[in-house]
Amino acid sequence: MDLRPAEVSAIIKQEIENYQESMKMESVGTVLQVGDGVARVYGLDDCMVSEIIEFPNGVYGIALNLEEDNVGAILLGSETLIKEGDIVKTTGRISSVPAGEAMVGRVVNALGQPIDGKGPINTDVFRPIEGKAPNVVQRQPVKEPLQTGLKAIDSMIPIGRGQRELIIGDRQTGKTALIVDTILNQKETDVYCIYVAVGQKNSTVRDVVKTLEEGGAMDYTIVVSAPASDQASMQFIAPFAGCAMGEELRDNGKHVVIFYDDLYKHALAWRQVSLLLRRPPGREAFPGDIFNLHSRLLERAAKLAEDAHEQAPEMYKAGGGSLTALPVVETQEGDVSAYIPTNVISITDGQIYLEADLFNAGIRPGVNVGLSVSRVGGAAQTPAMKKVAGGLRINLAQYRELQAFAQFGSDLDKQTLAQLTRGERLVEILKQAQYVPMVVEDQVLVIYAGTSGALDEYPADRLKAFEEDFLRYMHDKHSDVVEQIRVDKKWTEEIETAVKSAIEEFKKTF
Amino acid sequence: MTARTTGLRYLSALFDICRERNVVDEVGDVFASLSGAMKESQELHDFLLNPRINRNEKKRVLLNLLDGAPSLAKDFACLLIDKGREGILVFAGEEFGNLLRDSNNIMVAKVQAVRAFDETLKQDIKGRLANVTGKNIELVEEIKEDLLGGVRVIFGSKMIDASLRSRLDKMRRTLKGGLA
Repeated sequence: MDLRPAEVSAIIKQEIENYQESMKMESVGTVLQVGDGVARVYGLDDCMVSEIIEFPNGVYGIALNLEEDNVGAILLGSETLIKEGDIVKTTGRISSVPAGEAMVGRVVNALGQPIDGKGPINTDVFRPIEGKAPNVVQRQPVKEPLQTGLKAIDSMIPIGRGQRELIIGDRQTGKTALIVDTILNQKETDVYCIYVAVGQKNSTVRDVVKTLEEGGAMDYTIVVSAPASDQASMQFIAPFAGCAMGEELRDNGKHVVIFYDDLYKHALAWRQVSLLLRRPPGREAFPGDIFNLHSRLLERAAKLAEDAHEQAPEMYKAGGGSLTALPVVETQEGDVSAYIPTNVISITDGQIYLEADLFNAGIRPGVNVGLSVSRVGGAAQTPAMKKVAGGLRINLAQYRELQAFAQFGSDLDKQTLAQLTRGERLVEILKQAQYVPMVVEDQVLVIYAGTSGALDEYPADRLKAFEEDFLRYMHDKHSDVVEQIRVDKKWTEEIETAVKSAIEEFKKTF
Repeated sequence: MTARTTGLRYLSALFDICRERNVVDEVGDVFASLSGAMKESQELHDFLLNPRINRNEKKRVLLNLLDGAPSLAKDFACLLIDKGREGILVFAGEEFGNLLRDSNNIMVAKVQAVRAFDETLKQDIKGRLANVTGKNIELVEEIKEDLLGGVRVIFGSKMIDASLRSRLDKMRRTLKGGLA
């Protein structure tokens, strides 16, 4: 790059000449106490709740406690730059982050500042981090599917756009892997993804970003990172910042899916901040508003009504947009009845329960079908998938029961044996490798092959090969049928016969 | 902070009684000098605040000190000792003065500048501030070299900052493109 010093100083000169500043009366206070990421300020008479306040040396804070004679604030910068007696000013602004399409493809911190070294973000859209959730008439029921690309989830725990589905499980059970797969699967769709990393290791975030870049998924993804090394205040606002960015897209008629990874660490950050601000502790020392914290965050996920922009033109630029939230909660030793997991389970419209035992037994993704549920997604499921996967859940449930029972004796009747074989095959076809999401028409074909009993004659370890070859065969020889499922999304009798005969035909060559 | 909050309750009660009995100025003077003495003499301060010293002993010393003061002031000082709130005496003078100013619609404005003002300028600032706040202004001057130039006025929790230092700071931040 060619830089001429004379030009640079000319630009600076111009900036200084155009620099205008009006003198105004400011509301000020003095720092009484600072430390542990919070400050107490005396004065600031007309400070608002969650207003940005300005400390010296360009450090900002958010006023959270308005008390009789002081204001408690969390710091969004280094506390070492602040000392007792410093002058603090109010700014009259509520904490907000940059938003809009310019954010897509970037990695930002909780304040929306870029941390990926790709230069400044050119956007003049700012959005308050605390937003109002759409009301009843501005919403509509979930009706479009959000495909994760994972057979086990799209078939039995379908997620709809605008839904809130919790991903819950111990550490090392594939929660983040599930997220990455879902993001990768949105490549051919019109869905934007936002990945909010709260309290994660920097290296983990780095790995996720790298995987997404390699998969070409950063083109439609925003990563908001508040790693474990950030202050608790940053970790606390990160999900809200990510949500604000998602809302901006949603209100412009776009479809967005946001992942909060994870809300347990978010709760810990909020607990830390709350206790330091001397708010009274409740159960497990979490503050009393911990439920509200998560419910007001997740309530902002919505499927907007088609005419939302006519009802509230000041809020929405276009109707029909959606914000799907997939929060993650890490459990300790599989304890789903702990405080935070039960809270978030009760807020969301269902949960995907990942189990360490299944994961370690090689069933990946380790989804526990019995405990996982999607309360509203069924309405959004593709009709073809709904039809072929209808019996899947009950079949697997029966299999699990029989499996426990069959361990005792070997004298089993024919029907029981058949059910065991079927179950074993079904478990096998629901296994899926990481980073290879599957399109819905392929999923339908594979699951149909499983539920129709066509696979019962093969040993379980050959099914992976069967699946691959069968799909290749279908795309080569019967692409019209595949295309019909893809376009119509229906499962008619003629398609069923066509697929059935195709399977028979293929089995002769396999 | 809590000591001050409680102290304010005691002092505003005292202030109300003083107004009824018309002894505001006298009592105010007593506590101003007492607080001043406690600030100057560490011994007096430590003596009054030491919890191991007998209350009657403290009262005896205080009454000796306040010889000739209005009885209300003496009674109040003894009450504070009985209640174990001797700490209030430290800032009683200052806060009592604030209450007095409030009731007379007077506001203290701290004016910081790099050098002392002449009288006309002071009157000018006073007049303008009175216009803005609708109160009578009592100016407190403070010399602060690091402002570089200009003036900074602080009254209550409001500030008008017209100093060179703050403008330079702001300019630096604008040019650097600080966080929004």
